[in-house]
Amino acid sequence: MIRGKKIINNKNISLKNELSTMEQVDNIYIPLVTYNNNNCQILVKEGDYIYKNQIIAISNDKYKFPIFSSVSGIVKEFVDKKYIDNKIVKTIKIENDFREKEKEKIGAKKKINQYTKEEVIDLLKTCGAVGMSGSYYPTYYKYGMELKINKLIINAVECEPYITSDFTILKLHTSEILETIDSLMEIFEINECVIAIKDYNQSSMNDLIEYIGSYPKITIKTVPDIYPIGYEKSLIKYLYNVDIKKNPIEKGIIVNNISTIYEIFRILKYRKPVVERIITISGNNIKNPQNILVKDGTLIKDIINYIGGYTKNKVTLISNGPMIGNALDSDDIVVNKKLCGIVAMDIETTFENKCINCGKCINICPVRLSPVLIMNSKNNKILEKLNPDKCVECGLCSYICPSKIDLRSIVTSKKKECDE
Amino acid sequence: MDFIVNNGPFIKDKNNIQKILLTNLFLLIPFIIYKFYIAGINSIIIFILSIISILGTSIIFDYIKYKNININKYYKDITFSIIITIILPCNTSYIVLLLVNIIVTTLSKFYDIINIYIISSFLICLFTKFTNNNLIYNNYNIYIYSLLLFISLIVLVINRSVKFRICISYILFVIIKLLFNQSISEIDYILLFMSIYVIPEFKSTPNTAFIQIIFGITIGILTIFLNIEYIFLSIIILNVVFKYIDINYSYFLAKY
Repeated sequence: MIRGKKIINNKNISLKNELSTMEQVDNIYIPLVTYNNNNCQILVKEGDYIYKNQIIAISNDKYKFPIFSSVSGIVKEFVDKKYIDNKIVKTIKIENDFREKEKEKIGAKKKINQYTKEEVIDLLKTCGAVGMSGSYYPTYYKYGMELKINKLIINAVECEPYITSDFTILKLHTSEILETIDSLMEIFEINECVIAIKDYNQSSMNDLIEYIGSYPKITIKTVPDIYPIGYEKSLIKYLYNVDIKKNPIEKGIIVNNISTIYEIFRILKYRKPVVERIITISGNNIKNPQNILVKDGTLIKDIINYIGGYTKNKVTLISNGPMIGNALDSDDIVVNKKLCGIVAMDIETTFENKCINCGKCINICPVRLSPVLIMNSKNNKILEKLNPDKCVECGLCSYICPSKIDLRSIVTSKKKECDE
Repeated sequence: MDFIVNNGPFIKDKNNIQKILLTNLFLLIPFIIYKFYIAGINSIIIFILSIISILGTSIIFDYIKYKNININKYYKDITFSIIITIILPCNTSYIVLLLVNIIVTTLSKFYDIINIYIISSFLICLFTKFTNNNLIYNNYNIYIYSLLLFISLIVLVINRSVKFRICISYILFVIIKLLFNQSISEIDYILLFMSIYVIPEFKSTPNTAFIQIIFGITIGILTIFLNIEYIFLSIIILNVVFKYIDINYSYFLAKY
């Protein structure tokens, strides 16, 4: 049985309006952020002319993660800006010349299944393909491991409340998604693929159901509307009853979400990096909640102003959804592919009470931890036995606690204590 | 623009402590009225003395320690008074009642993990006998009482205000005991009542689902064979034992 809880998802708020495209802005701030750390080698200097999709930095780690410019223009300066985790990051400020000039014009590939494995892995690496569900994990690394891939799971569950970017992509680009999945299966000799969607979404997926018949190796499986079934390990457990210790690839399984698959499509089709993504702007404090296509390096305040602004002067602005996200202390924050959405809402003030030992946090934890015991642990010996490293920070313990204790923050800090 | 920063998650379940306490309190009202009706003036006196001793001790303690009295904190004490009144026999000594309530209420301020209902009942039972053949209690309508309990259980489960696994695993054994009894006595009503309001008490009972079921079954089996005083004692002992088992089971779950 999968542990979790049905929570109100409020997804219809952002689906009322059509997908829009963010207008071009005068200045872009490309954050020098990588998967592991933010240690980058900068390849440009002030005054340089940059082409769109040009590499402007590369990470100083084993992944050699490239960072691209999303516009053409002049490098103005190196500026510190706030990022979606409220931390300061270095950014490259580029003055947009609005020409979208690229150094090379590469034609689109007619059929995206006409690559070898090595070519795909190399293309994903050079184009900086990343996990677009917020993980930012380099995609080429998953496909490049020396292990046979038996199953491909396409995670179209998107269980985070308010966020509908994946749903929007799947609805608008169904044929591209299916074509990409089919090509990946052919290239990597994957026998089985499952698209996991929530049962209430199936009825709105007419195109998916219509086209899926042309792809006999791809099946759709519905999952119940439980949070956090979209979490990788919970999803694999539900679909295949397999427990994953560290990485799903150990069991020959790769999980990609819809945004990542669409990014792979664009990379394989056009052979250039993807420097923009669809994000959801939602919440009861946004005038026109919607999904919007934005370029890397755009500021959140510009995006929100473009779509009509806030409804109130006091908001809680949350990155990546109200369950796993962070509250931001300003909207002067740069966007990149790590961001799935922004939610602006009113938060009720709650007061913490003493724990009443109801055990709800223990029985709901998807990774079977005991948040209350972790909270009360007095020494490292006991803490190690309770294994707080396993915590996936889904937030369900804090959600369900009747005493309104911030268990997730407590477990996260105990996790760090354990690491030290 | 003003950006309010809090720790996530930013949506929370609507259930809270106040709701749990008030639900319990509200559901106890029919039971206490039924007790007054069946047992008469003695039970009313026991109730009044319990309220005075328990609530009074809590208020005095909070005033001395915190210099602060908050009326919303005392729903639990009122619940304690009601439950004690329903469980205890009418021939309970008033002095013993007052003393035990004061002691147990004070103890609960220092040791949060004790089952105050069971400890009070056990201590009082050392001085008071439960009478098995009390004719008045044979007049209880077992069906109405069971229906009230069933409704309470449903409401508590829907409101997520009870450790229902303990309730259900225990109540099955109480029903088995009732089926084999030749007549229904006061103790049978008390056991049925305890299965929902006393045995699954939050603080002293296990937290993990599996251990809750084992706990309920263990106490259920003992209930079939033991007298009520020994049932109280065994619950006190099993609370401690199962807490230890529960913690170790949590280690096991976390590892795998």
